[in-house]
Amino acid sequence: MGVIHDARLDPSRPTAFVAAGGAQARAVVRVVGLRKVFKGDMVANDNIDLEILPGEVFGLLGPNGAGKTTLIMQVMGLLKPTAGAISVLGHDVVAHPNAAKGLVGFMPQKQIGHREMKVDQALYITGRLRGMSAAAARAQTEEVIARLDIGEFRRRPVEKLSGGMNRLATFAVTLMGRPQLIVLDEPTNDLDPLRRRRVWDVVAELNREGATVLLVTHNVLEAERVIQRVAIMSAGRIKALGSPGQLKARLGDEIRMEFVMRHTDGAADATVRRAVAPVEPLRVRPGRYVALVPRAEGGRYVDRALAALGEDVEDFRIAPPTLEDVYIQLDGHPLDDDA
Amino acid sequence: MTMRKWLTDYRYLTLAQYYNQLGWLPFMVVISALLPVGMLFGLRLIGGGIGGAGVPFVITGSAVVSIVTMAVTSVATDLFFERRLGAFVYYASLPIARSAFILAIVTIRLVNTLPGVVVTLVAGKFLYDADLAFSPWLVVVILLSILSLIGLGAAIGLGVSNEQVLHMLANLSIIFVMFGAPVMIPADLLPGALQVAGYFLPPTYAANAFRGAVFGASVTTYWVDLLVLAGFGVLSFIIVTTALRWRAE
Repeated sequence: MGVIHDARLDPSRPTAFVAAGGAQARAVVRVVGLRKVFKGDMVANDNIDLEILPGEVFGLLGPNGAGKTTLIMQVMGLLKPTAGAISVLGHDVVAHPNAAKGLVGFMPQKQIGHREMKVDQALYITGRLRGMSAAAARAQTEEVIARLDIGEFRRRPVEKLSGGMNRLATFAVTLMGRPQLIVLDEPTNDLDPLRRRRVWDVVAELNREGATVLLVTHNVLEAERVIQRVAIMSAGRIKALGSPGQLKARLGDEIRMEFVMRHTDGAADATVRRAVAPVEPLRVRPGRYVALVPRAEGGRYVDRALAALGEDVEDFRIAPPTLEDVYIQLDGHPLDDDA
Repeated sequence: MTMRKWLTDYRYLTLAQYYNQLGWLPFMVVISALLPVGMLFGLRLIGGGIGGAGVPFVITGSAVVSIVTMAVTSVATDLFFERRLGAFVYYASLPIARSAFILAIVTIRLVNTLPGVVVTLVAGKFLYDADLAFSPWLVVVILLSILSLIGLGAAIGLGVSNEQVLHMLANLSIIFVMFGAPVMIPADLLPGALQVAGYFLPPTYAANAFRGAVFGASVTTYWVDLLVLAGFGVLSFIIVTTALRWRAE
């Protein structure tokens, strides 16, 4: 499967964005020929070229083990590439891994390791360590607490927070110091729907305020609201790159049919397969299936599927294609059980 | 990095270490004193014959065991779990100096260790009716002993990847100091191989210096021990700062 080229980075398809000054000169993150091989010859990243432009929310999408976290760890200067070049805000982070750390906020996938430290202490100290004055760190601590609505647990030790609260506290810490580039690795894991919505709202707000965001997430359907460009990774490589609209256009004139079956056994697989034949459905998790069918024949497919599935179907939806569908088409595998 | 930024980093990294241990600090202090004071008490009960030349070894040896408990075992465990919890990735993503991070860890362990050492020495004085002299150099001895041993704790905490191995090594370090090094037992009573090994281990020099500073000897009799401890301290600081990898596990 070939890479979908990004129109804004393609000189043969100039846009207003490129015309404004040239993407290469303005890139916040520039990755060229990146390769990372771990011990045992495990290739985590292979031949990756990527540019993230100022003021955009860039999503990295792909299944577990696709190499997304490895890629951002190298962008952060926390892993040394086997080959290739990475510049962040004009700094060569391969040669000088610490050069850009003052300008980048990083939310790792794991916790940040604080134990007895209280949430507001963690925020303030992070601000000071990021070079803020005492007054500025204090002010931003209050601002972030209010923005994320985490005042109720600001005085709780970090280790005593629930998984979701801990995730939110880690997100809050990442914002301290008002970094120019914010790198978020699965920011909404463990969060309830309301908190997830709050995080996406704040990401959108930060972006409007001028921050560039590099986002790794499994919550593709939600992230689609804020992502402006996306790279779909699989097996260490970038399979597709472009805006969500460009990538979804790749699916052509198709619509998405989604079924949730009452039973999750093998018989359900066969039933759904018969119901949408000759289109091959994908089981995205036990009991949940997606089929992309030609739009012009959508009505016929719907009638036939509902008749065939009868009482076995618990829920049925029909919608335009999503980024998840782009991924499925590219890789032939479901994105993630949580997606 | 400017000196001012380095000092700010050091201040707030130390504060972070302090906050993260605040809740269980009293417990740690009790633990660090419990083992050596228990040893002093037990040896007094079962080793009624200990007297004369043996008393300095028992009292100062117990103080060194207290230091090992905190500086080796506690540091190794803390760093291991900080690494596992992802704290290093967080710190590594910040614009801070590694040297400030290590020195912050050292500072808090120095503070944590002091009460246990003092309690052990005072308990030894009363339990054995010993005539302790407490030279002002004792402060230097304690600081250098802790510094030299924190390197060993950090090496275990940063180098080991298995929790069982971590606990085994941490416990072994205490047992070795108690029975395998010339700390509680005079060197000439140990087998030849252990006598030789003792020359390469900081607890040997820490125990020598403690005996000198606590039992009224002139600093001229143990300045070499102080020098060696300082050397171990500086060396371990450099090695740990260099070897500490800011990376994900």
